[in-house]
Amino acid sequence: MIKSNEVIFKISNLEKSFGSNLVLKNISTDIHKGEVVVVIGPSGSGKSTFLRCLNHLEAPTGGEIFFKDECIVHRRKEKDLDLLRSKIGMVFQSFNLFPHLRVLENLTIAPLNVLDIPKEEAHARALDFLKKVGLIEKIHAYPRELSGGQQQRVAIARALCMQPEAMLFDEATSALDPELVGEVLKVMKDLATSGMTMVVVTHEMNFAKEVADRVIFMDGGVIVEEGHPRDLFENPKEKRTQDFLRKL
Amino acid sequence: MEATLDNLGFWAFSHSIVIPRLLDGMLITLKLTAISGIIGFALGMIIALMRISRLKILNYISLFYITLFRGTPLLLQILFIYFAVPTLLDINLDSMPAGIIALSLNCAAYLAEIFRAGILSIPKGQMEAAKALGLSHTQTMFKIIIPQTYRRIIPPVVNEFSALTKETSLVSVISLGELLYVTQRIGAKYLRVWEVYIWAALGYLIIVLLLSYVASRLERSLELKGGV
Repeated sequence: MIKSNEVIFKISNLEKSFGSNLVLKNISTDIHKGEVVVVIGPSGSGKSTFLRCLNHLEAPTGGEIFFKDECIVHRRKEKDLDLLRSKIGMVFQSFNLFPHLRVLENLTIAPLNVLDIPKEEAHARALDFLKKVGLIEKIHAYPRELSGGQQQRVAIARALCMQPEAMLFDEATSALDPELVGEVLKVMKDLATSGMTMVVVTHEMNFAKEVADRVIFMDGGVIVEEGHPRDLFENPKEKRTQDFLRKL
Repeated sequence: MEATLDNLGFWAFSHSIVIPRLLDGMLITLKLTAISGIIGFALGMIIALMRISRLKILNYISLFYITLFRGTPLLLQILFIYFAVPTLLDINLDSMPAGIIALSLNCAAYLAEIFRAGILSIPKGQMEAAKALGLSHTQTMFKIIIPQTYRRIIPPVVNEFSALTKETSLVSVISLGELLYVTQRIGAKYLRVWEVYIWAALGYLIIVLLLSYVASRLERSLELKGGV
């Protein structure tokens, strides 16, 4: 189901190699506003690299990516990249909260320094998103005082404080203890329901089935198959998809 | 009956002659250490940032600097700055500024490598998370990466500062009246050697111990803040 005609990411013939190792080949797909796209695939299939190309944490070696109307691949200045990244939130497998800053400061550092908004507004935003992820009581805690699940929820709130136009999730639950996965997935589900454009790399197939508008299966650096989760999980067309899903 | 200097006992000699003069020398030593330490710290930070800069030319300049100052004896650097530089540039340079310049430049080379190691020890994910939020490279370095290095670089920085404290004794060769120079002068004047050197050793020990104490307090207070 395409929720809107507005294209947020237009990816055509994306290619990425590390030295002679070609990890992404000929990736083409569009991601629409409000769409939740879940990328699945075996380790080393290139799904994380694909995600990291979307906010230019990895520089593509070929093809094009458009974020709205801007091409983000060629001749980018450092400043333009910073501006681009400020509009795209990212959540990492290892949380990457800033350990020397309290939760509140983790949430306000980018709005204050990148968006240049007044302190009161940055605080108000931080409180708002902390409430949404259910951690308002941890506002003055340091990251190391939080559980993994709490840290990841703060990391999501930190990204949301920039009011991004899209959110990227790079195996956001893979480093968590099993009993903590649920609380993070719930926040992600709420976010999906609220209409956020999301690209989610994950191993949580139930999340993909319940929340995704579209699932992309990658293997060997290419998109093998994509489609609605019901079709892809119940009626995979490609043999490689069938093999992968059978092993789960 | 008046006691002559020759037959003064250890305590009387120490009390009346050695300690007052050594205290003067110690003050100069402290001043040298503090000023050179502060200048060296700032310069070291600049050189460390040049060393990890994405501009190749800055890498080479800083690498050359570090190699030069770590690869030649400090004593030679002091003599060069005091005797050779004024001749080359046709300027007057007193022993105090010459000493400070030599010690600062030397100290900066060692501190730069400590800072660089500290910066490189911060996990890559911190840089990526800051970038992903749209923070610029400079903001990321000064607000995210460098503050996380403070606690981990304290031990090697204290090590460097205590080395610096002791290395200030080398400027006695350019007749700068710091602790060791004063010690040698008193020893020569009164022909009493072991008393003066014992007190001088104690003087250096006190400065270094004070430094370690301040550092451990600093380390503990940083530990309370997030443990990084």
